Amino acid sequence: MMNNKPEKLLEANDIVMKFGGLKALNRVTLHVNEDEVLGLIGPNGSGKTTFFNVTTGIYRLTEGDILFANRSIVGKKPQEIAHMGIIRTFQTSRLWFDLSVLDNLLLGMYMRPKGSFFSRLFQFEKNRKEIKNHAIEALEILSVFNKELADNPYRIARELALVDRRRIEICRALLAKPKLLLLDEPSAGMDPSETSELMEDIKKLRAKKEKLGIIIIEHDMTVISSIADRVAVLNFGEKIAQGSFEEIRKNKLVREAYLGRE
Amino acid sequence: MNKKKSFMLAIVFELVIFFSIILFMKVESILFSIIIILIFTAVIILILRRAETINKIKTIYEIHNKEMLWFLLILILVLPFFFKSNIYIIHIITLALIYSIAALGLNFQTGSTGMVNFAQGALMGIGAYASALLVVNIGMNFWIGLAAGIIIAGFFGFILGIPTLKTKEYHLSLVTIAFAYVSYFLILNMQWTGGPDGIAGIPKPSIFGFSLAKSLTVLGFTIPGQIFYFYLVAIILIIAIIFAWRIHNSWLGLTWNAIRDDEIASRCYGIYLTPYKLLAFILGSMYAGAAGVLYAHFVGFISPDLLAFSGSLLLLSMVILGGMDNILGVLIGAILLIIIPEKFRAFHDFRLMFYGLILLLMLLFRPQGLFPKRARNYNLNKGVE
Repeated sequence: MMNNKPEKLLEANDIVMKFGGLKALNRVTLHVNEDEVLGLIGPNGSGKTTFFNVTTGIYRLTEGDILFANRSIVGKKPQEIAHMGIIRTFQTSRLWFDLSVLDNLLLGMYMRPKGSFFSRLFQFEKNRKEIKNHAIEALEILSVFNKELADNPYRIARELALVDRRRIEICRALLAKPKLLLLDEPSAGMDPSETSELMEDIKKLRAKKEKLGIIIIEHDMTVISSIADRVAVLNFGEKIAQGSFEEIRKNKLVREAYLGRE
Repeated sequence: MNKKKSFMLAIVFELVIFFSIILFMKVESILFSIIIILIFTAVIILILRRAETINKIKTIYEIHNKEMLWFLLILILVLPFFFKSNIYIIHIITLALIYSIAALGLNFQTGSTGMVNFAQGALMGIGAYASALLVVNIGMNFWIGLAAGIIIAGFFGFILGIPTLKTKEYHLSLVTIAFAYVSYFLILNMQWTGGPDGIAGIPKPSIFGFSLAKSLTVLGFTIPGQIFYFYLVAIILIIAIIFAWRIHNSWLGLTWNAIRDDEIASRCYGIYLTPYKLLAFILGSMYAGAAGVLYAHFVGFISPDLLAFSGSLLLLSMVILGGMDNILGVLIGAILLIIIPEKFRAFHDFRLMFYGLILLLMLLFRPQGLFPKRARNYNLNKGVE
């Protein structure tokens, strides 16, 4: 099947993910374009996070194909997929909790330095300069997000509040310079004002960086309506609808999935 | 606090510690040793209770870190001259430094990468045997033995690393225990390793034709040969520390920490686990190999007991006592765990119990070790923080 439309960044064709007898994803077809925000919604257990795990190579797809920039990513390891430019955040944020804020951000830039494995070891001064430059850049970007966090870069990640953890996680993801960013419930566990702050942050960053595709999983519909260009709905592992937020809101199947049949 | 005053304070602090260690080593009676240990523990507990005191000490040393390192180096160099009449103490200190090297290597795996390795003692033994066999049986010199010991131990570290890749946590530790026992029994049962009799008559190295075993008389002073070996070990330890410190502050150290904290997150940021884990094993084992070679040529006799499980346990206790992923902590852990048991040689039979007790107490009351790991400081703008 040829598909030469360049604007499609990620394309999932008829993907199936089985766990034993359970089909967590059943013939789902999805795509996200370059520079587009796709909202992925659905009730609990509908397969949203599974879709992320499949896309980032943590699970291996049972059937179907996922193309990223027209190259199949099925069977690739998470590391390879990260190097291709897909970076994700996690539902329960997964920072390196024993490391400082700055170390977390630096590791986000892990894929950037060129040079062989051993040159990194023995060219110590060069290495140190490089790390220092990266650290300065990281803190600049973090201060766009949140000044206070950038002022205390040596705090250990474990000591941070939930909102700050997510900020660091998103900032870290952006420092990896992804082509596609997968956000898994960035607002989970936040109160409305924190959520809106976070959304402002994401919008700010989108404005700064051109050509970034985003898939965002969210339960908070205000978030989806404010930043998603397009919405896809999953229910019991199947895609039941897609379109603009307004279209989705009126969709009968979606209402049934969330509220039950009348 | 002005600069001069803090500098003096740092020097005084270092001197006080230095001379109390010397005092401790000089004291012969067990009762006095116990009293000194108790006073030490009380002071340490008092300091640890007060966060501000720790911070003060920390900032003083951060300001003068270069000068303090040089000062420490001088102290180490003059140290043996305090014990010229008592060679036994120099012997113990040298042993402590040798074990420090192996503990630093173990810290790569256990402290930095989070892989609890119970085979470091065995790898140390492999290094020791490699050099001893080459030097005693084939007549190579010490330096070739040292290089061979490091390389061969590194190779076996690689061999050990491969099966651990598929395992995690307890399972990984089990693999390393199995490795330690296999190497122990192989060396015990093979003919060409000397079997249970071990290898005796391993010579001391010589530098420019000058054997480190002999004492030297300069201007009427007699310097015992042990002091020269002490210096040799000290130099190799310093090289080992510099390398460990560089690794800690490079991408490599940071990446190891990332793998320790969260493997999945690491993979999702493009970190290939295999090369880094193997490198932790290889580098750590090379340290063990160096320590083993130094041990063999120091004691002059090795037997399969060097590879016994208790050796690995001792090294692990050093890392846990001192502080995971903290170079200074590991060094202090190693030195304490060699020197204190030697002081109480009369109770030698209870040695293992003592290690067990220390491990238990540490895990209960201070699982992060005496010197817990700290966040890396990149000195982005000096003066602030």
